[in-house]
Amino acid sequence: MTPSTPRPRLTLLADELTDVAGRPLPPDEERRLLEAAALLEALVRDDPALRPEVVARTLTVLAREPQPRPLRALVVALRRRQVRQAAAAVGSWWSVAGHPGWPVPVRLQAAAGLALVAAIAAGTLGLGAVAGAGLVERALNVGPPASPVAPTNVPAPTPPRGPVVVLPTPTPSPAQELPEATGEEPSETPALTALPEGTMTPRPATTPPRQAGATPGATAGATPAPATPTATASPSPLSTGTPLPSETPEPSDEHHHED
Amino acid sequence: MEGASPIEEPAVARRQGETPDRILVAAILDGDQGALRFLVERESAALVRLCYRILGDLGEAEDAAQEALVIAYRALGTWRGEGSLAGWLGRIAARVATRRARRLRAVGWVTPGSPDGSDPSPLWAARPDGSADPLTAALRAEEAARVRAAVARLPDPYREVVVLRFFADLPLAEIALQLGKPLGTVKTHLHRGLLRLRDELAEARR
Repeated sequence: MTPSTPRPRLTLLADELTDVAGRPLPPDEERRLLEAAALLEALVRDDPALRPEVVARTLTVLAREPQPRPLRALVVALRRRQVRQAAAAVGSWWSVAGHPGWPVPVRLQAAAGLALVAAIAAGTLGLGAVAGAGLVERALNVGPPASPVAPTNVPAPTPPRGPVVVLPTPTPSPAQELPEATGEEPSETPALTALPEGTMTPRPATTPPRQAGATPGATAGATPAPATPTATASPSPLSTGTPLPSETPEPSDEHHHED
Repeated sequence: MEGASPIEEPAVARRQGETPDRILVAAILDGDQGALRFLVERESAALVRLCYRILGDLGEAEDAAQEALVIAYRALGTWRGEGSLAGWLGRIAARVATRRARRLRAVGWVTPGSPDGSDPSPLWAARPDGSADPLTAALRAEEAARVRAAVARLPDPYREVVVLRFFADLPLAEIALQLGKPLGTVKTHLHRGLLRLRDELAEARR
């Protein structure tokens, strides 16, 4: 410092020249502190005046900056119903999240906003894809209806455990024969006299359930015999028309049929 | 300033228990460009002055002040309202200017300024009596550069307190608030920083 340097206009305050406990400093230390303060205060004498273009330039730079609170900027824009500013706020999130010059909390906030927007976009796209696929599927299904193939001679479904009607000569259309068979006497069962005697023992416990049109007498003797190995091989004798050996007709019916 | 700014109604601010700085910051965060302009116009002079005291170059000081304002604007949402907004801005500007000062001193050249006075660098600075004495200005500039370099070499906690106290003109209580340290610690840092500075400059003169 030159000798012509005037005394600094500022110096340490009284409370700054005390120790932590508030006691005054030793004289030597106080003198050294004041010398250092004088050196620093000499620097502040020639403060420059602020040039007006500095403010304008700073404001121009700040005007290009995104809002310091990304999500709040969007909320404020939506509250004011400023669609363009809301879109700009969302658009600025990417630059904020990826710029290292922004504080970490602000970047995290912008990244969270981006993730939210991405999730909403993905959900919207997914819903749109599902809806589109549904429309396409519906459009493909709406066409000329397929001509139904109605079989004219479809045999009526035969109950598998209906009354055993064994015709002596199988006919090609058993559905036409079935009403006759059910309307006839149960004694029309074919003669199965070749069966051994042991198999002709009626067993009421295994009598099949009654069917409409079937008389009790017709089912009384239709008992599968345990001694015959093919007693349960063919549950529907009408499909083949072949009398099963296990079907044991009544002896009386057999004679009546032959008559 | 657009419309009625909240900071023009300090009575309302006091009634709500909030400082005008808080209301000003809230308005800026809401996108009030008028409030932002008010803040820049209010604080620019002090920030440029602070940066100039650290850097000794007006152009660099203006750039540093602008950078500090941009940094502060980006971090405005993180301002907790402890202490004054000016002190918070001053701390940011001090850091920016100190970083720039280190970079400039690594280059090791001195801007001579322009003789027409458009650039008031220390070499061409007018004396307080209005006369321009190049020799005196050169001596002062040399001394100022030495002091600034010595400040920049101070250890971090000491340097920050010394800069905020002498270059940002903040009282110790405000510095303690800004730094989040006890007042006694700040005072100790100031004393130790000043003693180191004085000893280093005295050593350099020998």
